[in-house]
Amino acid sequence: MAKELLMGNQAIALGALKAGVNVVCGYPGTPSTEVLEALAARNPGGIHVEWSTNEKVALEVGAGAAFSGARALVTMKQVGLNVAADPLMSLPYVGVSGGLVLLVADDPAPMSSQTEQDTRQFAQFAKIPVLDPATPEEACAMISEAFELSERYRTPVIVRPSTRICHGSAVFETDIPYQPHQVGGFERSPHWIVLPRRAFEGHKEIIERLPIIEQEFCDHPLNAIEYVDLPGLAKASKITSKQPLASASSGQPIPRRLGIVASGISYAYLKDALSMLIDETKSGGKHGIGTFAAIEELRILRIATPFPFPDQRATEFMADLDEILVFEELEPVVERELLRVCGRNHLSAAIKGKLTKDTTVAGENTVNSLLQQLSVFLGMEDSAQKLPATISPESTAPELPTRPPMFCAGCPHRGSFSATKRALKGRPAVFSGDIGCYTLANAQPLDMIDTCICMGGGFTVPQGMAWAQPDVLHLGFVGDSTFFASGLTGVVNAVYNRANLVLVVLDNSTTAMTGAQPHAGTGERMSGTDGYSATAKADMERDAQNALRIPDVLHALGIEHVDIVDPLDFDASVEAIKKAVAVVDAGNGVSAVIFRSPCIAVCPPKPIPWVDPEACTLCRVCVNTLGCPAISIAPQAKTIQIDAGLCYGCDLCVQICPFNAIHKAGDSK
Amino acid sequence: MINVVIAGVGGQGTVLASKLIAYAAMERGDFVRTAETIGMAQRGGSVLGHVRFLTTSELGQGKELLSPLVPKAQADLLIGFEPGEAVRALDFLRPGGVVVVATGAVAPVTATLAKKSYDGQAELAYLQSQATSKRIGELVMVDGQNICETCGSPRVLNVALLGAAASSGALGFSADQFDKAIEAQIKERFIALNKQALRLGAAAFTLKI
Ligand code: SF4
Ligand code: SF4
Repeated sequence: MAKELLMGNQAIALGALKAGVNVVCGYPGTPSTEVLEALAARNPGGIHVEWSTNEKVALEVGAGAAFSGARALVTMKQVGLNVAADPLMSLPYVGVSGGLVLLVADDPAPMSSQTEQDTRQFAQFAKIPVLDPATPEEACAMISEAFELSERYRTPVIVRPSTRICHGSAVFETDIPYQPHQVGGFERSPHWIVLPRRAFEGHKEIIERLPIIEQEFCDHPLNAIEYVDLPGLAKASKITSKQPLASASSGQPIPRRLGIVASGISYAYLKDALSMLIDETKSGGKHGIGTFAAIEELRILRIATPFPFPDQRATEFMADLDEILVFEELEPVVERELLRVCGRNHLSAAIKGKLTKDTTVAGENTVNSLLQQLSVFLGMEDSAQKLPATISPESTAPELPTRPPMFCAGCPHRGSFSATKRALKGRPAVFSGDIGCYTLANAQPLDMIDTCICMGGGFTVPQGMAWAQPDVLHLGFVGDSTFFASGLTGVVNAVYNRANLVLVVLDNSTTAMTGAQPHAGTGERMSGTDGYSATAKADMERDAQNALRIPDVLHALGIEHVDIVDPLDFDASVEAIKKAVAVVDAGNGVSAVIFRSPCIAVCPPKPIPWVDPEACTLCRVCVNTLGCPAISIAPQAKTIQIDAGLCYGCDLCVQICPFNAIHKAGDSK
Repeated sequence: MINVVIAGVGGQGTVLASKLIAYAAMERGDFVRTAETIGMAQRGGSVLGHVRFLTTSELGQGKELLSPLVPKAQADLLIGFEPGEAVRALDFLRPGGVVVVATGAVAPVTATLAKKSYDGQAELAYLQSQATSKRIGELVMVDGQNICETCGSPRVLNVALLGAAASSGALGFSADQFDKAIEAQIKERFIALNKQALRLGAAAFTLKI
């Protein structure tokens, strides 16, 4: 058996292969991207894998495949589900005949997202079952399970890993034979057409099937109740009746019956934190945190199926407990469900969690945050500092420079934004941005992106601003992948409603932020050409060279002034922006500039320039205009220096330097 | 259980470093978990890698490991790709743990813009003071730049640091354990180069004594 270290996302892909998946579609988005990439890489042939134009398109393509009896996996990040919300809401009404699984990755303490939204809540809203893995191993296994559920109940099913599962690795057996799922074929039926009358019936079907799924979830092996053998428990065995062990009048604290509930990765943190606490007390509390105070019983409930919520299992768990602490990330989904179950069954357990601020309310959980919150809950002396003995930062520690993310050395966006800034020197303007690397233009020294809300917003938000404030210049920036994903409708709107603004497309020939995925504008596809005729193969190769061209699209949509310029040519870029602004100033409506130069992830480096130490006056124009990470001030020297390991040879600094102190590789002074 | 934290700057090759450690541990049958920083921070921001492994004998005793992240104050080894990032991640180190740090500083644009020359010297001095007071059990400073120049590639810093980390004993295996991992994970034409960097890194540790 071949063993490989796989990232959670690759393990999910393995799970899909095991399930015999037929069609895979998605739109790139951290932390979900590698699932589809791994499926493309491991495609034994016969699986259709595609980057769809956006998440809505992906879900509809996947739904169509599932209508035809195929097993379809649709991948996206949590905010992608917002884009796919339209088909998502209707799909449970219509149902599927094959299996439809959505892999939606959440991003707590957003490392690369614009919200801390919780897909479990979206699943509740859309009435779609959701599985919540705690480890990469579980995430892998849940894919087959999700397909079976989907087919058994004719419903889409969501699997929701979070960043630490997607990007955490574990060891897997990888030589699994791929057995494609047998595609049943499409059968005509009125239930595929979601007319208002049918919607009403569909709603009833959903309401009927959810309690059956809930019953199944109550017996789910991962929704398990565990009894924790704490050292020094008042009574270590399972308690069945609720008899107070000591009277309140004796002055002794009454031993409490405690429960802990965890969902997702928090379950992994809980297990690790509890064993650390138990080890600590067993070793005699060497950190001085004392022992567990007056606990009669401690049990754990893991919730691996947040919707439909396993009410009966939760009731059984909570029946004779005094207090319950809930660990979950993002929204208090499980906590609210437990409150509901308590109310319904007149249970008296006190439920603590995010709503009571006994656990972390926003951001990520960690083993350390759980250690602290657990030791309070378990009545140990408050041990935030003592356990574990952290090296607290000392006053002698030097103040560290901040290191925010920024454009890579050689990034063409640096040219686009610095040229735009130069072209508009001193003129009030608003720069509306969008989702992608170019949001980083917000960082110093460019300091340029003024708004950013969602995919496509870069072209539409400035239209509203322009109507509200016509005397200010408005520019909207959208990347090439985003242009196709969500930008087109905004362009149509600007042309149709005669908005007055400059649209800028930053075309770097890839979806850069998520690690360089192809899109409609590059023509490259994720599935191979197996199974196609020779003519079709030739066509596909030609397509790869003749991908959808953004300038043609803009012209076709009715924009007359469309300029294409290389952002690494500084002067030409400044001119292009000036001309586009002139069109807007003349009241001629929308104009467009396409900055076209590939991301450094998809092109080789060029020879690096050299600095003439005698000519450099350390005026810092290069530093303050570009903020390239490869340029720094030489220690003890009176010049700038270029880091050969970082520089990509874009030559922007050569063009910017007013003293002609930076020279192209090979050029003499 | 061995806990390793890798701290560096996006683009320095930290992801490959944690993968190589995980592979080397996996080779000997250990149970491995890792976690990476992937996404926006990879564009020149501070990045952390976590590697945790349980040996076969610990597995035999029924020990469990679920979380991919090393808790604060639990790392046996901290590998800093850059002095400032090593200091930033120091609270992950258990008292008396090992720190392997590259001496070459990566100046952030924020420092350059703020007209501060950042060369990592103050950070290295701080690490040394922590070694003197024994909060750091062992401090290994690696002149990565020198090794990269000898090998003729700026991209082998990660493997050089792994060599030094292995010879410190903190991983529980020697630098040779990385050979197979390098062969499996690195492109054919860069294998010899990386093995050379690994040995030079390992030697850098012995030089220190
Ligand atoms: S050529 Fe200049 S601006 Fe471009 S990457 Fe190199 S140092 Fe940075
Ligand atoms: S390289 Fe040119 S722009 Fe940069 S500091 Fe020196 S003289 Fe000024």
